[in-house]
Amino acid sequence: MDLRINQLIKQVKKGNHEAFGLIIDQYQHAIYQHCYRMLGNHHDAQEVTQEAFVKVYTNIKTFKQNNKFSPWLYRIATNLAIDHMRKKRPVSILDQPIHSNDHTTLLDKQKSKEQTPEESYERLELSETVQEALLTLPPKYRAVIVLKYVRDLPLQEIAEVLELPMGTVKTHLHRGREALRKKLVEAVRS
Amino acid sequence: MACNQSSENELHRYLNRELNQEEENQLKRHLMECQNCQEHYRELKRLDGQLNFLPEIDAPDDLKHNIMHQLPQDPKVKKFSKIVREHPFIAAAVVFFIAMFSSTLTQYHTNQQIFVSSEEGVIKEGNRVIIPEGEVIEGDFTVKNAELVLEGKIQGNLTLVNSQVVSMHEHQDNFLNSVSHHVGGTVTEIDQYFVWVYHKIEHEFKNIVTFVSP
Repeated sequence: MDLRINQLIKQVKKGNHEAFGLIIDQYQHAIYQHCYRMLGNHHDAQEVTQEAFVKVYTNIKTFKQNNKFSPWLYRIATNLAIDHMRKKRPVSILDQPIHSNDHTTLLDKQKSKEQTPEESYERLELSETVQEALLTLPPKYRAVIVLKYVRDLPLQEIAEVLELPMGTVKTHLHRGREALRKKLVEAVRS
Repeated sequence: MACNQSSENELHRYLNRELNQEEENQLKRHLMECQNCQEHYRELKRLDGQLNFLPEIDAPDDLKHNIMHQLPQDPKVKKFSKIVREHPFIAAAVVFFIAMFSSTLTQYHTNQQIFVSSEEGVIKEGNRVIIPEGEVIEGDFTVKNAELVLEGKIQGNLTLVNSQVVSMHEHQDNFLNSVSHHVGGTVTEIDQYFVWVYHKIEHEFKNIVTFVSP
Protein backbone atom coordinates (compact mmCIF):
# COMPACT_ATOMS: atom_id res chain seq x y z
CA MET A 1 0.00 0.00 0.00
CA ASP A 2 2.75 2.45 0.94
CA LEU A 3 4.66 1.31 -2.12
CA ARG A 4 1.70 1.91 -4.36
CA ILE A 5 1.12 5.37 -2.89
CA ASN A 6 4.81 6.16 -3.35
CA GLN A 7 4.61 5.22 -7.01
CA LEU A 8 1.51 7.36 -7.46
CA ILE A 9 3.27 10.29 -5.82
CA LYS A 10 6.16 9.91 -8.25
CA GLN A 11 3.66 10.08 -11.09
CA VAL A 12 2.00 13.15 -9.59
CA LYS A 13 5.38 14.86 -9.31
CA LYS A 14 5.76 14.32 -13.04
CA GLY A 15 2.47 16.16 -13.50
CA ASN A 16 0.13 13.18 -13.85
CA HIS A 17 -3.34 14.33 -12.81
CA GLU A 18 -4.84 10.86 -13.06
CA ALA A 19 -2.41 9.47 -10.51
CA PHE A 20 -3.56 12.20 -8.16
CA GLY A 21 -7.13 11.09 -8.79
CA LEU A 22 -6.16 7.63 -7.50
CA ILE A 23 -4.64 9.17 -4.38
CA ILE A 24 -7.89 11.05 -3.81
CA ASP A 25 -9.81 7.77 -4.17
CA GLN A 26 -7.60 6.25 -1.52
CA TYR A 27 -7.91 8.97 1.11
CA GLN A 28 -10.94 11.15 0.46
CA HIS A 29 -13.25 9.18 2.73
CA ALA A 30 -10.82 9.19 5.66
CA ILE A 31 -9.97 12.87 5.29
CA TYR A 32 -13.62 13.76 4.98
CA GLN A 33 -14.39 11.89 8.22
CA HIS A 34 -11.56 13.68 9.93
CA CYS A 35 -12.67 17.11 8.72
CA TYR A 36 -16.31 16.45 9.51
CA ARG A 37 -15.51 15.51 13.10
CA MET A 38 -13.17 18.47 13.45
CA LEU A 39 -15.66 20.97 12.03
CA GLY A 40 -19.05 19.44 12.70
CA ASN A 41 -20.86 20.12 9.44
CA HIS A 42 -20.83 18.99 5.83
CA HIS A 43 -20.28 22.38 4.30
CA ASP A 44 -17.06 23.15 6.15
CA ALA A 45 -15.87 19.54 5.95
CA GLN A 46 -16.22 19.57 2.18
CA GLU A 47 -14.50 22.91 1.82
CA VAL A 48 -11.54 21.94 4.00
CA THR A 49 -11.18 18.46 2.46
CA GLN A 50 -11.01 20.00 -1.00
CA GLU A 51 -8.59 22.65 0.15
CA ALA A 52 -6.39 20.01 1.79
CA PHE A 53 -6.11 17.89 -1.36
CA VAL A 54 -5.39 20.90 -3.52
CA LYS A 55 -2.68 21.93 -1.05
CA VAL A 56 -1.22 18.42 -1.15
CA TYR A 57 -1.10 18.63 -4.92
CA THR A 58 0.54 22.03 -5.08
CA ASN A 59 3.08 21.08 -2.41
CA ILE A 60 3.76 17.55 -3.58
CA LYS A 61 7.30 18.54 -4.61
CA THR A 62 8.15 19.36 -1.01
CA PHE A 63 7.03 15.92 0.14
CA LYS A 64 10.05 13.70 0.71
CA GLN A 65 9.52 10.26 -0.65
CA ASN A 66 11.07 8.43 2.30
CA ASN A 67 8.54 9.91 4.72
CA LYS A 68 5.12 8.42 5.21
CA PHE A 69 2.43 10.06 3.16
CA SER A 70 -0.61 9.77 5.40
CA PRO A 71 0.75 11.70 8.43
CA TRP A 72 1.68 14.49 6.04
CA LEU A 73 -1.79 14.47 4.52
CA TYR A 74 -3.46 14.47 7.96
CA ARG A 75 -1.20 17.28 9.10
CA ILE A 76 -2.22 19.46 6.17
CA ALA A 77 -5.91 18.65 6.69
CA THR A 78 -5.71 19.25 10.45
CA ASN A 79 -3.94 22.58 10.13
CA LEU A 80 -6.40 23.77 7.50
CA ALA A 81 -9.31 22.67 9.67
CA ILE A 82 -7.90 24.58 12.64
CA ASP A 83 -7.36 27.70 10.49
CA HIS A 84 -10.88 27.33 9.20
CA MET A 85 -12.28 27.18 12.74
CA ARG A 86 -10.43 30.32 13.71
CA LYS A 87 -11.73 32.19 10.70
CA LYS A 88 -15.31 31.01 10.87
CA ARG A 89 -15.78 30.03 14.45
CA PRO A 90 -19.04 31.90 15.23
CA VAL A 91 -20.66 30.76 11.99
CA SER A 92 -19.69 27.13 12.56
CA ILE A 93 -21.47 27.10 15.89
CA LEU A 94 -24.57 28.80 14.51
CA ASP A 95 -24.60 26.20 11.73
CA GLN A 96 -25.13 23.41 14.19
CA PRO A 97 -28.55 21.79 14.25
CA ILE A 98 -30.58 22.59 17.34
CA HIS A 99 -31.31 19.66 19.61
CA SER A 100 -34.08 18.94 21.99
CA ASN A 101 -32.46 17.83 25.19
CA ASP A 102 -35.10 15.36 26.24
CA HIS A 103 -32.98 12.23 26.29
CA THR A 104 -32.90 10.07 29.36
CA THR A 105 -29.86 8.04 30.21
CA LEU A 106 -28.57 7.45 26.74
CA LEU A 107 -25.76 5.23 27.86
CA ASP A 108 -28.22 2.50 28.79
CA LYS A 109 -29.51 2.41 25.25
CA GLN A 110 -26.05 1.91 23.94
CA LYS A 111 -25.62 -1.33 25.78
CA SER A 112 -28.57 -3.08 24.16
CA LYS A 113 -27.53 -5.12 21.14
CA GLU A 114 -30.53 -5.07 18.86
CA GLN A 115 -31.76 -1.64 17.91
CA THR A 116 -35.33 -0.61 17.37
CA PRO A 117 -35.87 2.42 15.10
CA GLU A 118 -36.30 4.61 18.18
CA GLU A 119 -33.09 3.32 19.61
CA SER A 120 -31.11 3.89 16.45
CA TYR A 121 -32.60 7.37 16.34
CA GLU A 122 -31.43 7.98 19.87
CA ARG A 123 -28.09 6.51 19.06
CA LEU A 124 -27.80 9.03 16.26
CA GLU A 125 -28.85 11.79 18.57
CA LEU A 126 -26.28 10.69 21.09
CA SER A 127 -23.57 10.84 18.49
CA GLU A 128 -24.72 14.35 17.67
CA THR A 129 -24.40 15.24 21.32
CA VAL A 130 -20.87 13.87 21.30
CA GLN A 131 -20.15 15.81 18.14
CA GLU A 132 -21.45 19.01 19.73
CA ALA A 133 -19.29 18.45 22.76
CA LEU A 134 -16.32 17.86 20.47
CA LEU A 135 -16.87 21.25 18.87
CA THR A 136 -16.52 22.98 22.21
CA LEU A 137 -13.00 21.61 22.70
CA PRO A 138 -9.97 23.74 21.95
CA PRO A 139 -8.71 22.84 18.44
CA LYS A 140 -5.53 21.12 19.65
CA TYR A 141 -7.44 18.78 21.97
CA ARG A 142 -10.06 18.19 19.33
CA ALA A 143 -7.45 17.19 16.78
CA VAL A 144 -5.95 14.62 19.14
CA ILE A 145 -9.34 13.17 20.08
CA VAL A 146 -10.49 12.92 16.46
CA LEU A 147 -7.25 11.33 15.29
CA LYS A 148 -7.34 8.86 18.16
CA TYR A 149 -10.99 7.82 18.00
CA VAL A 150 -12.33 8.59 14.56
CA ARG A 151 -9.17 7.74 12.64
CA ASP A 152 -8.02 5.14 15.14
CA LEU A 153 -4.39 6.23 14.91
CA PRO A 154 -1.84 5.03 17.47
CA LEU A 155 -0.55 7.78 19.77
CA GLN A 156 2.88 7.64 18.14
CA GLU A 157 1.36 8.48 14.77
CA ILE A 158 -0.75 11.27 16.24
CA ALA A 159 2.47 12.80 17.58
CA GLU A 160 3.90 12.55 14.06
CA VAL A 161 0.85 14.15 12.45
CA LEU A 162 0.68 17.06 14.86
CA GLU A 163 4.45 17.36 15.22
CA LEU A 164 4.09 17.33 18.98
CA PRO A 165 6.07 15.40 21.57
CA MET A 166 4.41 12.23 22.82
CA GLY A 167 3.93 13.71 26.30
CA THR A 168 1.99 16.67 24.89
CA VAL A 169 -0.23 14.38 22.85
CA LYS A 170 -1.07 12.39 25.97
CA THR A 171 -1.79 15.54 27.95
CA HIS A 172 -4.09 16.83 25.20
CA LEU A 173 -5.82 13.48 25.03
CA HIS A 174 -6.40 13.36 28.80
CA ARG A 175 -7.64 16.94 29.01
CA GLY A 176 -9.79 16.47 25.94
CA ARG A 177 -11.38 13.36 27.41
CA GLU A 178 -12.00 15.06 30.74
CA ALA A 179 -13.60 18.07 29.08
CA LEU A 180 -15.82 15.82 26.97
CA ARG A 181 -16.75 13.70 29.95
CA LYS A 182 -17.90 16.76 31.87
CA LYS A 183 -19.89 18.06 28.88
CA LEU A 184 -21.67 14.76 28.41
CA VAL A 185 -22.45 14.39 32.08
CA GLU A 186 -23.99 17.88 31.96
CA ALA A 187 -25.92 17.00 28.82
CA VAL A 188 -27.33 13.87 30.40
CA ARG A 189 -28.34 15.72 33.56
CA SER A 190 -30.06 18.58 31.80
CA MET B 1 -4.11 4.93 46.24
CA ALA B 2 -5.34 8.40 47.00
CA CYS B 3 -8.22 9.85 44.99
CA ASN B 4 -6.44 12.70 43.35
CA GLN B 5 -4.83 13.69 40.11
CA SER B 6 -2.69 10.56 40.12
CA SER B 7 -5.67 8.22 40.03
CA GLU B 8 -7.19 10.23 37.20
CA ASN B 9 -3.92 9.84 35.32
CA GLU B 10 -4.04 6.12 35.94
CA LEU B 11 -7.54 5.99 34.45
CA HIS B 12 -6.39 7.68 31.29
CA ARG B 13 -3.33 5.50 31.05
CA TYR B 14 -5.63 2.54 31.43
CA LEU B 15 -7.75 3.75 28.51
CA ASN B 16 -4.56 4.20 26.47
CA ARG B 17 -3.61 0.60 27.41
CA GLU B 18 -0.44 1.83 28.97
CA LEU B 19 -0.76 0.06 32.31
CA ASN B 20 1.09 -3.13 33.04
CA GLN B 21 -0.67 -6.00 34.82
CA GLU B 22 0.48 -4.93 38.26
CA GLU B 23 -0.67 -1.30 37.77
CA GLU B 24 -3.97 -2.46 36.35
CA ASN B 25 -4.66 -4.70 39.31
CA GLN B 26 -3.82 -1.89 41.64
CA LEU B 27 -6.23 0.45 39.83
CA LYS B 28 -9.00 -2.15 39.92
CA ARG B 29 -8.55 -2.69 43.64
CA HIS B 30 -8.82 1.04 44.14
CA LEU B 31 -11.97 1.30 42.02
CA MET B 32 -13.62 -1.42 44.13
CA GLU B 33 -13.11 0.72 47.20
CA CYS B 34 -13.67 4.24 45.89
CA GLN B 35 -17.12 5.31 44.73
CA ASN B 36 -15.95 8.59 43.17
CA CYS B 37 -13.24 7.00 41.07
CA GLN B 38 -15.59 4.24 40.02
CA GLU B 39 -18.07 6.83 38.75
CA HIS B 40 -15.29 8.70 37.01
CA TYR B 41 -14.11 5.48 35.43
CA ARG B 42 -17.59 4.61 34.21
CA GLU B 43 -18.09 8.00 32.62
CA LEU B 44 -14.75 7.84 30.87
CA LYS B 45 -15.37 4.31 29.67
CA ARG B 46 -18.75 5.39 28.32
CA LEU B 47 -17.19 8.35 26.53
CA ASP B 48 -14.52 6.07 25.09
CA GLY B 49 -17.25 3.82 23.66
CA GLN B 50 -19.26 6.75 22.30
CA LEU B 51 -16.24 8.19 20.54
CA ASN B 52 -15.29 4.81 19.13
CA PHE B 53 -18.75 4.27 17.74
CA LEU B 54 -19.37 7.60 16.11
CA PRO B 55 -21.10 6.70 12.83
CA GLU B 56 -19.21 6.93 9.56
CA ILE B 57 -20.09 10.01 7.56
CA ASP B 58 -20.45 9.60 3.81
CA ALA B 59 -18.32 11.94 1.76
CA PRO B 60 -20.26 13.80 -0.94
CA ASP B 61 -20.16 12.17 -4.38
CA ASP B 62 -18.75 15.21 -6.15
CA LEU B 63 -15.83 15.60 -3.75
CA LYS B 64 -13.21 14.11 -6.07
CA HIS B 65 -14.63 15.87 -9.09
CA ASN B 66 -14.45 19.23 -7.30
CA ILE B 67 -10.89 18.64 -6.16
CA MET B 68 -9.73 17.66 -9.64
CA HIS B 69 -11.26 20.85 -11.02
CA GLN B 70 -9.48 23.01 -8.47
CA LEU B 71 -6.04 21.62 -9.24
CA PRO B 72 -3.80 24.30 -10.72
CA GLN B 73 -2.36 23.77 -14.16
CA ASP B 74 1.41 23.56 -14.21
CA PRO B 75 2.90 26.94 -15.01
CA LYS B 76 5.33 27.07 -17.95
CA VAL B 77 8.38 27.61 -15.76
CA LYS B 78 7.59 24.48 -13.84
CA LYS B 79 7.22 22.57 -17.09
CA PHE B 80 10.66 23.70 -18.18
CA SER B 81 12.31 22.55 -14.95
CA LYS B 82 10.37 19.31 -15.24
CA ILE B 83 11.73 18.71 -18.72
CA VAL B 84 15.26 19.37 -17.55
CA ARG B 85 14.83 16.89 -14.74
CA GLU B 86 13.25 14.21 -16.86
CA HIS B 87 15.37 14.47 -19.99
CA PRO B 88 18.81 15.67 -18.94
CA PHE B 89 20.48 14.63 -22.21
CA ILE B 90 17.98 16.37 -24.43
CA ALA B 91 18.18 19.41 -22.18
CA ALA B 92 21.98 19.40 -22.44
CA ALA B 93 21.73 19.15 -26.23
CA VAL B 94 19.29 22.05 -26.32
CA VAL B 95 21.59 24.16 -24.16
CA PHE B 96 24.50 23.27 -26.42
CA PHE B 97 22.61 24.32 -29.53
CA ILE B 98 21.47 27.54 -27.93
CA ALA B 99 25.09 28.32 -27.05
CA MET B 100 26.23 27.51 -30.56
CA PHE B 101 23.44 29.51 -32.10
CA SER B 102 24.18 32.55 -29.98
CA SER B 103 27.90 32.31 -30.65
CA THR B 104 27.36 32.25 -34.41
CA LEU B 105 24.90 35.09 -33.99
CA THR B 106 27.42 37.23 -32.13
CA GLN B 107 30.07 36.28 -34.65
CA TYR B 108 27.71 37.37 -37.39
CA HIS B 109 26.95 40.67 -35.73
CA THR B 110 30.39 41.61 -34.46
CA ASN B 111 32.01 40.83 -37.78
CA GLN B 112 30.42 43.76 -39.47
CA GLN B 113 33.85 45.02 -40.43
CA ILE B 114 35.44 44.06 -43.68
CA PHE B 115 36.96 40.66 -43.83
CA VAL B 116 38.92 39.03 -46.62
CA SER B 117 40.23 35.53 -46.50
CA SER B 118 43.56 36.44 -48.01
CA GLU B 119 45.29 39.78 -47.85
CA GLU B 120 47.89 39.07 -50.52
CA GLY B 121 47.60 41.28 -53.54
CA VAL B 122 44.33 42.75 -52.29
CA ILE B 123 43.73 46.46 -51.84
CA LYS B 124 41.29 47.71 -49.20
CA GLU B 125 39.76 51.14 -49.75
CA GLY B 126 37.06 52.16 -47.30
CA ASN B 127 34.36 49.57 -47.72
CA ARG B 128 35.81 48.39 -51.00
CA VAL B 129 38.04 45.42 -51.60
CA ILE B 130 39.88 45.61 -54.84
CA ILE B 131 41.58 42.78 -56.63
CA PRO B 132 43.62 44.71 -59.18
CA GLU B 133 44.03 43.72 -62.78
CA GLY B 134 46.67 41.08 -63.39
CA GLU B 135 46.42 39.75 -59.80
CA VAL B 136 45.62 36.05 -59.51
CA ILE B 137 44.41 34.58 -56.23
CA GLU B 138 45.15 30.92 -55.94
CA GLY B 139 42.48 28.96 -54.11
CA ASP B 140 39.19 30.13 -52.55
CA PHE B 141 38.38 33.68 -51.59
CA THR B 142 35.88 34.98 -49.06
CA VAL B 143 34.75 38.57 -48.59
CA LYS B 144 32.56 39.84 -45.78
CA ASN B 145 30.75 43.17 -45.49
CA ALA B 146 32.37 44.80 -48.43
CA GLU B 147 32.02 45.72 -52.06
CA LEU B 148 34.33 43.68 -54.19
CA VAL B 149 35.90 45.20 -57.24
CA LEU B 150 37.00 42.28 -59.27
CA GLU B 151 39.55 43.02 -61.95
CA GLY B 152 42.03 40.24 -61.31
CA LYS B 153 41.25 36.55 -61.13
CA ILE B 154 40.27 34.05 -58.50
CA GLN B 155 41.13 30.46 -59.27
CA GLY B 156 38.96 28.84 -56.58
CA ASN B 157 35.44 29.55 -55.31
CA LEU B 158 34.29 33.02 -54.37
CA THR B 159 32.09 33.44 -51.31
CA LEU B 160 30.40 36.80 -50.76
CA VAL B 161 29.01 37.34 -47.26
CA ASN B 162 26.90 40.49 -47.01
CA SER B 163 28.92 41.61 -49.95
CA GLN B 164 28.47 42.28 -53.59
CA VAL B 165 30.61 42.56 -56.66
CA VAL B 166 30.73 46.01 -58.21
CA SER B 167 32.38 47.09 -61.35
CA MET B 168 34.82 49.92 -61.96
CA HIS B 169 33.54 50.17 -65.50
CA GLU B 170 30.08 51.53 -64.94
CA HIS B 171 28.37 50.45 -68.09
CA GLN B 172 29.00 46.78 -68.21
CA ASP B 173 26.03 44.97 -69.72
CA ASN B 174 26.57 41.34 -68.93
CA PHE B 175 27.89 41.91 -65.50
CA LEU B 176 27.31 38.44 -64.08
CA ASN B 177 28.99 36.87 -67.05
CA SER B 178 31.96 39.02 -66.47
CA VAL B 179 32.11 37.93 -62.81
CA SER B 180 32.14 34.29 -63.76
CA HIS B 181 34.83 35.19 -66.23
CA HIS B 182 37.04 36.31 -63.33
CA VAL B 183 36.31 33.42 -61.01
CA GLY B 184 37.59 29.93 -61.67
CA GLY B 185 35.20 28.13 -59.26
CA THR B 186 31.62 28.89 -58.22
CA VAL B 187 30.31 32.12 -56.74
CA THR B 188 28.21 31.89 -53.57
CA GLU B 189 26.37 34.90 -52.22
CA ILE B 190 25.24 34.87 -48.61
CA ASP B 191 23.45 37.80 -47.14
CA GLN B 192 21.04 36.28 -44.72
CA TYR B 193 21.90 34.99 -41.35
CA PHE B 194 20.40 31.55 -41.66
CA VAL B 195 21.90 30.97 -45.05
CA TRP B 196 25.20 31.97 -43.57
CA VAL B 197 24.75 29.51 -40.69
CA TYR B 198 23.78 26.81 -43.15
CA HIS B 199 26.81 27.58 -45.21
CA LYS B 200 29.01 27.44 -42.14
CA ILE B 201 27.61 24.10 -41.04
CA GLU B 202 27.98 22.72 -44.56
CA HIS B 203 31.55 23.93 -44.61
CA GLU B 204 32.34 22.38 -41.20
CA PHE B 205 30.67 19.17 -42.26
CA LYS B 206 32.76 18.95 -45.39
CA ASN B 207 35.84 19.59 -43.30
CA ILE B 208 34.94 16.72 -40.99
CA VAL B 209 34.26 14.42 -43.92
CA THR B 210 37.59 15.23 -45.53
CA PHE B 211 39.29 14.82 -42.18
CA VAL B 212 37.71 11.41 -41.58
CA SER B 213 38.15 10.10 -45.11
CA PRO B 214 41.03 11.91 -46.80
